[in-house]
Amino acid sequence: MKKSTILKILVITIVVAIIFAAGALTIFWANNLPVTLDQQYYDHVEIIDINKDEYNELIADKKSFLIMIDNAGCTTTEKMREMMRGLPQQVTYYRIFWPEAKETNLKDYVKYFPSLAVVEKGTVKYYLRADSDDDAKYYNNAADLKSWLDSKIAH
Amino acid sequence: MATKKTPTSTELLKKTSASIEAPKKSSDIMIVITAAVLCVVMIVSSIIARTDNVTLKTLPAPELSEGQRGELGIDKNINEKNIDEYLNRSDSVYYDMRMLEDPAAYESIGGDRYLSGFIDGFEVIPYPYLASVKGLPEAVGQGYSGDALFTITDDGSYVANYQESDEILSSLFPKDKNIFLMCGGGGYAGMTKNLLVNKGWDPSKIYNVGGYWFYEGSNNVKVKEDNGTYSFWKVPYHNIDFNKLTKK
Repeated sequence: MKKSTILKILVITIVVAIIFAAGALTIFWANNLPVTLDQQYYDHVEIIDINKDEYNELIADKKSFLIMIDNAGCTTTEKMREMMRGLPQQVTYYRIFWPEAKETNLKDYVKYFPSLAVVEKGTVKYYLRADSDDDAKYYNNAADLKSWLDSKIAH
Repeated sequence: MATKKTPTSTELLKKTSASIEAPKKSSDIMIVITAAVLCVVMIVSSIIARTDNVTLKTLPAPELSEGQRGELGIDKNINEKNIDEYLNRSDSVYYDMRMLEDPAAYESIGGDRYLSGFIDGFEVIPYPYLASVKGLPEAVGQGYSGDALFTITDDGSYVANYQESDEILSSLFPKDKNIFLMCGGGGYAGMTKNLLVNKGWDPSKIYNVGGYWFYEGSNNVKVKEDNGTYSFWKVPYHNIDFNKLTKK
């Protein structure tokens, strides 16, 4: 085989590899971008309790929002509730209780309360896992929880 | 030269009937023996099944779940997802640590102050009756602040409030048995394990199997009925009458 042919194959291979790598990076980057919530959630700060029907309506309307999956009467959620209350409030967020949450599509993602989920245009994009060591720090430290929120929600 | 004697018809008849009778008797005996053996096998197997000495599976050692659930002490190997496989063991006791009715006003944050269900086989003994509870969220107001067997001190040890406190604890939680604990989300169960371990129980025999809220098995007993009423009569409940105890 001629040297020039080998060179051409090499160049084409490198170009294709670069295109694929760039594509993969773009997809990865796009998948990890913070979510811009709908404007109404930036306008004022509030915690709104909702039930499964109201949640399903938000999903059907392709809304982008933050939601806390909580459960009343349980000592396990107190710390997250307290941390969320203590954080500088920047957006309005919803709260749904577990008996309602587990009858929605949240159940496909969030297996245990408490948790936070960021929904983008009606799809759950980010959420915290109570059964993951990787997420443990967000359950224990308000600063870490804030950094998670800052990285997942555009301000 | 010896001549073979031809048998008479009577002799032939006798011989024939004898040869027929012999196998009939032995087959009867075989049937009786088989039936007896089957009966014995059935009786023995039913006895074995009742005592379940043979069917008890070896329990995996307690191991913490990952993440926040592990911090609550919830077990990785035996939890809400598979507790059904470990129910009704003769070497174990099962306790749900929730109150039937919690004085905290959970309605204020959209919750339910009543016990809405439990897993069949678990008996209910409220953790707040065993030891004082701290740290309820402000919004729910005051939780149970009545009597408890033990008070938690600032250094994390448990001081008995009654002369009978230790005896009651030992009676409820036999040290020679495996102890399966659960509650709504795993918090009270974890606190109970802490109490028991602090009081000298073997941690390798205590399993925090997590929360009823995450249970989806086939042994659910609904206490909150579809019409919104509560059937508390279904709950195997341990009350502690503190008035009958002797203050320390």
